[in-house]
Amino acid sequence: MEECTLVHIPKRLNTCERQAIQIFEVGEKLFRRCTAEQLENPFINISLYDLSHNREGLTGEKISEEADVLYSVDPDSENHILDKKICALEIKTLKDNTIYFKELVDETTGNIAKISLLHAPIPCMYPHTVFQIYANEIEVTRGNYGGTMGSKPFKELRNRIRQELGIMIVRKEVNQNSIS
Amino acid sequence: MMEIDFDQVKRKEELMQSEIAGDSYKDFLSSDLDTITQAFDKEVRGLFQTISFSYPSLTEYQNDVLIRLFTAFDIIKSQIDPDRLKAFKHLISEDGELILYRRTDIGLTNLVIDSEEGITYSFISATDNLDILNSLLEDIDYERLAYCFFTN
Repeated sequence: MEECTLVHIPKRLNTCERQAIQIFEVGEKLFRRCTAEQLENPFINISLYDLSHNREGLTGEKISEEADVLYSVDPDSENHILDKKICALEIKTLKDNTIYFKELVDETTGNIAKISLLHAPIPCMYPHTVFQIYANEIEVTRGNYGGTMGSKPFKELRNRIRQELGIMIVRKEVNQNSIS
Repeated sequence: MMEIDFDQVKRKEELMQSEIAGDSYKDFLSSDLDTITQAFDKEVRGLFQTISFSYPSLTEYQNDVLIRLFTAFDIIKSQIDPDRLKAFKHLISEDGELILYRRTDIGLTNLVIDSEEGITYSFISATDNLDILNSLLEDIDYERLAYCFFTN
């Protein structure tokens, strides 16, 4: 992986040669930047792409603190993002005690959505982690949102994912067993 | 209580949305919409007007739902804590949905009125797994929906 060139990011957060760890543990926290609007009504104000977080790390291998999520990794913006609040989500349950993964099926249309929690290090931010959403196996991004999860046939699944993400922020937890 | 003729309201909204003569119809017919909402309790009417005036781009479907919903609010008002009626907010989403929502210590309730068809009722409990997500398309019981909206 390329080196981090942003001097305001502490070296301890740089990825360097470290590999992603694709297991999580119950009790681990995820830190997310939230606007006041998202905190008040996450069902409506949360996007279904770019769902970036920082993970805290496994027991004995902590890799980030809550406040680290406010460091900006965008070279064109301020060093710190001060106009957002931090939402800390505690992992309550996991699939096979190691991963978060949900598959949602719309019985009417046959469409399938998947949500997966992935540790996705970037050069300046090793703890970077995302909830990645897939629409019929296509990774949902800002660029393709309108043609995938944002399209009319996905309305039902979109609402179920909104509900799932809304539950996380309202209850400040990640729960493999929550029902959407 | 005055009976509301929803078909009549719908026809008027269609006329008011006409690109060619909509504004002329609007002036002529808005007094009739006033007459319909006159039947509402003063407080309910005030809330209805606030939403209606805040979002002039509401679709015909959304206007229709709004009238039916506020008619239900008007009916149940005497049976719920009057303060609950005041304690909800509203907005238009980026996708053009009209959203009415309440946030309390018990949880978050959303009523999402699609621009074309369908209402989504969502309740997210603040503490446990008693969450609800319902998509409503046809034969919607607005009184029941109104109770659900104000319950938590």
